[in-house]
Order: sequence, then structure tokens, then C-alpha cells
Amino acid sequence: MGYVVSKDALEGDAHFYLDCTACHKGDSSKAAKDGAHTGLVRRPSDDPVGSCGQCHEETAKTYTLSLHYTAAGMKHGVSPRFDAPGERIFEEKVFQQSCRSCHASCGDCHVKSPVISGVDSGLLDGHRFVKKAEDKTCALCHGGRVWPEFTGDYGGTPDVHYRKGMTCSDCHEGKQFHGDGVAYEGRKQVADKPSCAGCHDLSKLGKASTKETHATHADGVSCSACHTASAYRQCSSCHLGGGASASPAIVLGHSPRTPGQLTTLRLIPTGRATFAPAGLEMKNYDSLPNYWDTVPHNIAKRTDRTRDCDTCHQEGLYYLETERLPAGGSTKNLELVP
Amino acid sequence: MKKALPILLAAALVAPAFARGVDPIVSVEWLAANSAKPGVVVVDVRKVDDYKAGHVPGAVNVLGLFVAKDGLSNEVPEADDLSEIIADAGIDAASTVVVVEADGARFAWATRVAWTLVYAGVPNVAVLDGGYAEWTKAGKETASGFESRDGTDFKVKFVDSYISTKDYVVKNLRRAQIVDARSYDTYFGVTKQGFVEQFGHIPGATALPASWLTVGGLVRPKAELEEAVKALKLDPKKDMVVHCDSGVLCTAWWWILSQQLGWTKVRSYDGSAQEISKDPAVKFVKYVWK
Repeated sequence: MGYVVSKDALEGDAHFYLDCTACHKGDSSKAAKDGAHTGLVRRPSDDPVGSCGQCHEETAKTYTLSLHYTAAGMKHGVSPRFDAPGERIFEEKVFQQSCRSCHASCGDCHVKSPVISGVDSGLLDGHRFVKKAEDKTCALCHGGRVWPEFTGDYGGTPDVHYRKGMTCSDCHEGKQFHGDGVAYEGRKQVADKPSCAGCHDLSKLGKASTKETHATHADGVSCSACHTASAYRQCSSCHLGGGASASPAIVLGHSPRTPGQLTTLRLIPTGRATFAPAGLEMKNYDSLPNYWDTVPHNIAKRTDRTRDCDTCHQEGLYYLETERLPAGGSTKNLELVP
Repeated sequence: MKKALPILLAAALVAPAFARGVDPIVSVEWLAANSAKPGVVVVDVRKVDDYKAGHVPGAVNVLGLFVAKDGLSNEVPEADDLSEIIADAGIDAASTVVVVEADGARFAWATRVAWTLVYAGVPNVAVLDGGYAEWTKAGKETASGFESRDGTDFKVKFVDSYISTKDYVVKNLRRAQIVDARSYDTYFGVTKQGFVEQFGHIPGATALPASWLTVGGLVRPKAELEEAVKALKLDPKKDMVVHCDSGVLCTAWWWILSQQLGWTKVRSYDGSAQEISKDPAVKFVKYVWK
């Protein structure tokens, strides 16, 4: 057997009652590499239904509509900036060749780590099929922001849920990874997703003053606005030609997607010239802001905002200010300034 | 007896390190023999996934004992948060706590937790020599999943003599012994961390790299460490501040000097070079060994 797959793995994993060629094709009757690899499929689960779907039929079928597979959130997060011809070019030259080229086979999470920015950390565990390995799979794709914020590797303050032993799938159910059979344009459209109130009943939580504070703020302020523990990444130069650099900050402003709500914002610096190398101009650039509402995954029970009302009500310490908006950014940003 | 009492009281006040009921560094064999005893709490401070995959049976996973705060990377949490974390772990002031990190290379991260606990008012804290790697190497039993203990009503009672602030360092620059636990390269000024403003070191500081403390994944013998600090002419009777870049490595030497060798005038400075290098009143020197 090959040098990447151990005998131990073959004996310990039910998937290996199948021959390698059942998924990877090729010709197992040939001893020489060239012959054996004729017709080889390197990433069988790029076609979920045709590979994993042979046994996991329902999951594979719904997965092909999921946001992890379609990457539709990425597409619709920027496509309104283009006019109709621009959107067609974006689809062909950028989205399909970049975003969609690696988003995301079954094997990317269950067999090997996905390739991120050219870094390929290889098979998860000697080609064993792993049901979940959040620190190696979720953490790689969501490792620029969410995972290190959650574990405290970025900023040193672990999320309270992580401290209690919870990891991704304790809140995000299987259908959020595999889809629920509906092709959404973005995660905000998904009806059934985790919410703080799903576990924390605000009417019963804490002492009287806590109940009162929650009741006062519930309609106009997101949970994360007060309970985000520390500065999270604001990717200020990722797409501006200077490479990636993160400027940590807490930014509070009006949600661009939930009218009337004050929430945590994250800078998404799609510059006016981001797609110029693909010959693309964003004619409707100002139709979207440069910030999205976000839920940083470093939640704490107590923060400077929960300890002291003046943090927001007198000092407005984290409020987005006009002077802090990125130079040359979208005019839509002004609507987010409290 | 009347004469002896004040002397004994004075000795008790200046030598809290000797009041401890457990060695500050314990072996795998000690832990295997004692981990199930009442009052012993094994605290695993590795990442949740590593802990869940395998840990010392009965160990609880505890994170968040040092946090980013006020622009500094590794600070003591607010008192109410720290009290809650310690209480939730099933620890009270009478507990014997054993801190388990991944391996000897993470000794300073274990001592950072251990220092926080003794600073918070839990005196009987030990670090497992060689960490979890040594436990598994010895073939000891392991458990998987997530374990918890009954909480306590612990409230922190900080031991102020264990910590240094920036003001304390600035006020005592000429009087106290400043010990720099960073690498020789950093001390000499040929390299530095991005978050530290100045190259070099605090004038007069003694270089005592934390990397000297372990060999082969285990802490060097006490006599060897004692000899090393003696050779550097560090005086146990004089005030001392140990610092590093961001408040982790310095606790390794603090742990040895204070808890193992019994030096009573040693403080750990958690703001460290990250904080003090930004103070224009403190000019670092470079390319000199003193």
C-alpha cells in the first residue's frame, strides 16, 4: 500500500472496505504508476453526489446546495457592486476560478485539510475519514478570524464557550455545515441558525439589574455589541495591494443588514480597484458599505461595556466615527456611523 | 518563648514560599500517586481539542487565566472574572493544584498559570515536570472528553508582593535587581518582538534566559539552577523584578526563584518589555551585557 496510508488506518476505518479505485478511479491492476494512475481522480468528493453520495445520499445531495459548497455568500457579498456585464465577468474570471475553485469538497473537511493560501497541511490522520476535527478543518478556513478569536490565540482572550469546552459543532448543527436543502445567497438568509437566546433565556438570566439591562437593550443592540471581549480583526489591507495586515479593534455601528440595530462591525476592505487585475470595474461600488455586521467569537460574560454604562453612553469608546472610515471607501459607510 | 515569637512571626511574613504544602514542581510519579486524593485538582491548560483527545484522568481544562487587556498581551483578568474561573474549576484556597501543560517546552506557560493562581491566593500550586508529554511517555492512564468538578465559592485575595507594576519598576530602577528572562539575542539588542518599542534591555538588567530552565523536556535540578543564579551574583535578600517580553517567560524564573529556591523578594512583571519599552522615561541599552 502507498506510503501515505498506513495498514493501521485501513484496518480501523470502515470506508476502506472499498477499494481505493472506488473513489479515486485509476487502474489497480497495473503495477507501474503511469498505468495505475490513468484516469485518476485526485479529489473525488469535488463531486459529492457521485462519490460520497453513493452511500451518504441525502447528505451529499443537500450539501451541493449548501453555502460551504456553493460559496454563494462570497459571491453575493460583492456582486451588487457590479453592473450586469461586470457581474458576468466577475462570475467567470473571479468567482469560478478563485472562490469556487476550492469551495469545498466533502474530503476537505473529513479526509484532509483544505489548501489555504497555498498551504496544504495534508491528510488529517493517515487518510482516515474523520467525522469532525474542528481544530484542523473549520480552523483552517475560518482561521484568519473566527477560530483564533474563539480560542484566544488571537488576542489572548478565549471565548467563554470555548473555556467551557464547547467547539464549533456545539452551536452550529450539522445542517449548517451540510446545508438544509435550500440554496441560500448568504448565511444571513438561513432561518435556522444559532442564536444566543436559543440557550440563554434573557428573561431569567442574572440578577434584576441584568434583566433590566437586557430588556432595555434587546431591541436595539446586538448581544455581541456588549459581550465581545476584546479587539477582533479588521482586515484593513488584505485587498489593497499591500498584503494582509490585521488591525485589531472593536467597532460598533449601525448594522447594514438589520435596520435599527447597533452591533459589532468588521471591515471588509474591498477597494475600488480590487478587481482591476481581472479588468473589472465596480460601477455600483457605493451600493454596499465596507463593513458587515459580524459576531466576533470571543464572547465574555463581563466586558468594559457591561461593567460600565459610560463606556458607550458617555465615552462612545468603540463607536465608528466618520474620521475612522477608510479613505476612498464606500459612501454607504456613512449610514453605519451612530 | 516570648522572645522567639516575634522572630517566628517575622520569618513567617518574609518567607511565604516555605508555607506551601506541595513541591512547586512535581513528577509524573507523584501525580499518579496523588491525583485522586481529596483536595488535589489537576488543571490542564492546553487547548480544548488537545485536552478532549487525552488528559490525566480527573483533570479539568482551564483557560483564560491570562488575557489581553489595555493593549498588553498577557494580563491578569479582572478579579471577578478570575474568581469565577478558579471557582468553576473546583479550586479553593485550600486546594492542591497541579498545572499540566503540553510538554517541557511550554514550562513557562504552565508557570504563568501557576503564578496567577498563587498570586490570586491559592498557595499550594505545582507544575507537572515535563507536562502531559511526560505523562503519556510514562505510559500512565489517560481519559478523553470533557470533565468538570463541583464549583467552589472562591474569591481572589491577591498577594501583592508577587507582582510588579510599571510604576514599581520605574521607581526602583536603581535599587532593585532587574532580571531579563528573554533570549540573549533580544537582551543584547540584535532582535526584538514587533510589539516591543525598543531594542536591547533595561539598563543594569541581568540576562537570565528562561530557555535555560529545562533540558530534555524536564526542569534542571534545583542545585544546578541555584548555582547558575549564584554565579550571576543575584542577591536573594534584595528586591528583584523578573520580566520578559509579554509576561509569560518571566514567570518561569519567578517560579524557580520564589517557589523553589524560596527567595521572598521576587516580583513578576506581567506588562514586561511590551509596556515599559513604550515609556520615554526608560531608555533601553543595547550591545552591552549589563
